[in-house]
Amino acid sequence: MQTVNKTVRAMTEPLPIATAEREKLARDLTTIVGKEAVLWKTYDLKLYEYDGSIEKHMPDAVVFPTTTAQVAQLVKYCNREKLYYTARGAGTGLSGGAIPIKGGVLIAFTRMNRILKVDPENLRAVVEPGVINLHLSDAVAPYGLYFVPDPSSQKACTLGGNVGENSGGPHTLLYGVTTNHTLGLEVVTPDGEIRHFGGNAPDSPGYDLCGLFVGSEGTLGLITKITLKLTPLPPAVKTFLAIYDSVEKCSNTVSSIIQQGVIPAALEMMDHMMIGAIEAATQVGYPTTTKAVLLIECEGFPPALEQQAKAIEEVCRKEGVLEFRTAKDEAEREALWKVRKGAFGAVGRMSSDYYVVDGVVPRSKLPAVLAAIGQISKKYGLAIANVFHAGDGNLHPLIMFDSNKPSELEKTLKAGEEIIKLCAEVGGTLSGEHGVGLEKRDMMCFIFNEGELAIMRLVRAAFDTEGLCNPEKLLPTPGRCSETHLQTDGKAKDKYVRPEIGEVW
Amino acid sequence: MTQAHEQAGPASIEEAATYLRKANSATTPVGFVGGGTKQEPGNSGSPLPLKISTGRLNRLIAYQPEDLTVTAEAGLELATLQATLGKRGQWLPLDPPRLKGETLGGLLATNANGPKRLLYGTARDLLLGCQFVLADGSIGRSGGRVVKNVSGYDLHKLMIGSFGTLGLLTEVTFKVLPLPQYSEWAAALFEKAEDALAATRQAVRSNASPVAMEILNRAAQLQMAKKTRLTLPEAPYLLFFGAEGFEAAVKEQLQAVTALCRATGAKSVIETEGKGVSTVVWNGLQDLAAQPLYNLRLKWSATLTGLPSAVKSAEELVVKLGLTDAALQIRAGTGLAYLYAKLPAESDAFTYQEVARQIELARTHVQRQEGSLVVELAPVALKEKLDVWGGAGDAFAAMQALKNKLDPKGILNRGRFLKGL
Ligand SMILES: Cc1cc2nc3c(=O)[nH]c(=O)nc-3n(C[C@H](O)[C@H](O)[C@H](O)COP(=O)(O)OP(=O)(O)OC[C@H]3O[C@@H](n4cnc5c(N)ncnc54)[C@H](O)[C@@H]3O)c2cc1C
Repeated sequence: MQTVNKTVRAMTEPLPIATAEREKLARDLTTIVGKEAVLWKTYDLKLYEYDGSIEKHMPDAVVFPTTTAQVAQLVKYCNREKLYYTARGAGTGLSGGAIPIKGGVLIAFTRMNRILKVDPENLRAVVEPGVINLHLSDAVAPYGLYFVPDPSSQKACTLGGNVGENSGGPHTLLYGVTTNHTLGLEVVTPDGEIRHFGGNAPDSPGYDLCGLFVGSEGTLGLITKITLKLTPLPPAVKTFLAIYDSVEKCSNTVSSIIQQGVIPAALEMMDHMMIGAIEAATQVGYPTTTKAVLLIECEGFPPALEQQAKAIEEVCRKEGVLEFRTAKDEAEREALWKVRKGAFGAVGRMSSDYYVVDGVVPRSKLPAVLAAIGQISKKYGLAIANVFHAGDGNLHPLIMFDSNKPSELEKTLKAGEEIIKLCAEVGGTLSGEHGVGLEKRDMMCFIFNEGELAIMRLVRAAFDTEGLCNPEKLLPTPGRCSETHLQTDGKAKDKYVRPEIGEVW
Repeated sequence: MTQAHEQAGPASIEEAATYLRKANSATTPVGFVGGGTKQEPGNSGSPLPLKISTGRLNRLIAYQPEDLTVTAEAGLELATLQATLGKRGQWLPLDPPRLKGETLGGLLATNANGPKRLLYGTARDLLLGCQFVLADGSIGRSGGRVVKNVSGYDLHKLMIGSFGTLGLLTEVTFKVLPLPQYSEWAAALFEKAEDALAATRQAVRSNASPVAMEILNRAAQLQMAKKTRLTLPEAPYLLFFGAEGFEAAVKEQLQAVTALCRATGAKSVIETEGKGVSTVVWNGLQDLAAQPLYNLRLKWSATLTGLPSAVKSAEELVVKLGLTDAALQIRAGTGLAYLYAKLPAESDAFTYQEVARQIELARTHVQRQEGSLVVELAPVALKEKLDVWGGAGDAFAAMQALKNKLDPKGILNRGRFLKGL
């Protein structure tokens, strides 16, 4: 397993908890949140030892607070008892952010799930962190509004998790990701105090702590309330499918569209391996020579949409599109999206296990990087399907493997790491939306040096003074980056079980 | 106020780091200078014996038009960058008052922006990453050069609007956009500010997505007309609105907003004709905040529904202080109101003590409605009598903890930012 740096917190290192102590812990926690809101039996805890990633670790207790005051009391209690604590939303995270890797108290926000206020005139909503992403957009649709970030997991993931990871989605190309739509936060900082960052009005004086908190993966404190920006629904949308007989032509089209002037609302790409999986599952009827497809969506006023559609079709033709389809109505549009959204599921049907990699490259590097991923697939003898947010260069290679075969998970993780390294080398980054968590913590060394990481540690220490808040996440232990090679092998020691995370598309 | 100080002009990031390291070990307060266009904001503060200028850190490092990203040193002038981008049909969609010499670092440290933030957002939506030097000379970095990134803390967001109190920005990467193919403006004449504000609220809630919505009072209109030499329609309140993008869409967007204005009580709506005029109107609105004539600039920030009350409070302040030709520019779609005025010299009949008291009263009023009031520009004698920033509520302790970690001796721009940050 990971080598834990013992020197940093040698003085305060909490001890593992024995069963008798766990019972006492449960009693204590019960006094804060009530009997119905504490889990402490191994049988129950087992359900909370993983998220959507590969790692797992059991908490010593799970609590389900319903108020900010309870959260503050929980943090104060953990400080007093020197217990680690970790925030959890729906646990759909793909980088291990919500795993209580050192045990302690897992604070699950699923019961803080009220939409507190919809304020259409101010284009704002105030929500508790446990609200499911899609529930917010559903709730504000009657006002002609929506919440832009639409992670593919939006039927299951929470807004607190979205803020924690700074999540994106197919439609964040034009209007930005979670951070661009988060205006204010109520948080319980690791000193147990309730604080308010940002707010309803723009430009709050002082440092942009709201901006710092979004994407901090629950390492700086616990979010208890979120003020979000709502956006008017577009007057009209148009959706296209561009089919290519070469990956290169398809990715060149992405660059050309981005450059030509008007950025589409969504620009998603799938390669031949992905198409094969989809075709096997749903028989969409792609031409047999299909090597890659682009799903393009534009929005705006009808006359402008026509213009934009023409411009986009021209670019596609110029880049040698095989077939250009336009969705004629809402049903056809939904059919096109269903294919994209069912992509992970389709791969799931083709391979017993798969590993989702998340990396970003400059858009102009897409053709070269996709070719290199093909090489990595050959090198490791593992099938890799690509389905991704092409418009912002955010890759999601899905590496297929069989966890029953010896050492195949190790191989898969190695291949994943090689892909991330490649992204870093071409000027890209480790993660576009899934976060660093445990999965990529040590890969931070690919893009940051020791000095730069030391400064991030300072920032963390400004908040997490006790070192108890979501330990071991995001930042590698000091000195890690000077080691010559990375150790992902350790992660694969325990047998991998793909978690059930509810219905997602 | 200019005090005697030493000026350092490092030519490399390492050199800048060396200056800082030395200043830090001697606990010498340090200020940063970009183009020197914004040395006045903030509290008066203590003397800054050392000023580090980014004037020589002005290289364009990487421009990838096909990726819509650009990386430059912080001392590069915004105008130079815009010219470079313009040659490839792109721009950085930030439109602060055009000040000669304004650098990217200065722009970010003061979080400068303009009317079009309504559509394009502010620096926090456009800055992809940065490199900076902390007070002790250590070099940090966050973000990257790609448009989507969640690797590590977004420290670049902390740097925006921190007025040089957390570190020296040395290199920045922005997301840029293609220049709009078409851009047009219109102006609606209103008798009452509330009506213009109501029209704005409806426009931003509709899907007309205007690029900016700006309301000017008479004094502001006169100032703008004088600067731009345009003949502007006259009304107690003039609401300028615009749209950018495909020509066909722009026409439709403007029509939609025009209809809303009429329905909310606009006397008439004047359409500007075509691109040329639009640029002049546009620059006029952009530059209004920076007229040398003014020595007082106040900024109210409110929710959209709280804005009418903030505007009323601003107008009452004008009356109470007898600043008859004070200009009011309301960034109505965003929730901001700016007051620009020429404050008379202090006298027995006009004390800055009273001015300060009235400003603090107006601040209390807007703070009660979740807003804030910042004194962006004021004579030193007035600044000494008030807190230009106002508070940060229960967030302050967290800000201070952060400052203490990153600049433990408090040497950076000492005494100028919010409550001594
Ligand atoms: C099939 C599938 C598709 C996906 N598609 C996308 C996609 O398109 N785009 C995308 O960005 N992601 C995607 N994800 C990843 C994941 O769904 C997102 O990261 C999501 O935001 C996580 O939300 P959650 O509620 O499950 O959070 P969790 O996984 O429970 O937690 C995520 C992180 O946030 C922290 N956190 C949670 N709540 C709080 C709180 N109240 N206060 C402080 N910290 C908190 C946790 O500690 C953790 O670090 C996908 C995942 C799956 C399984």
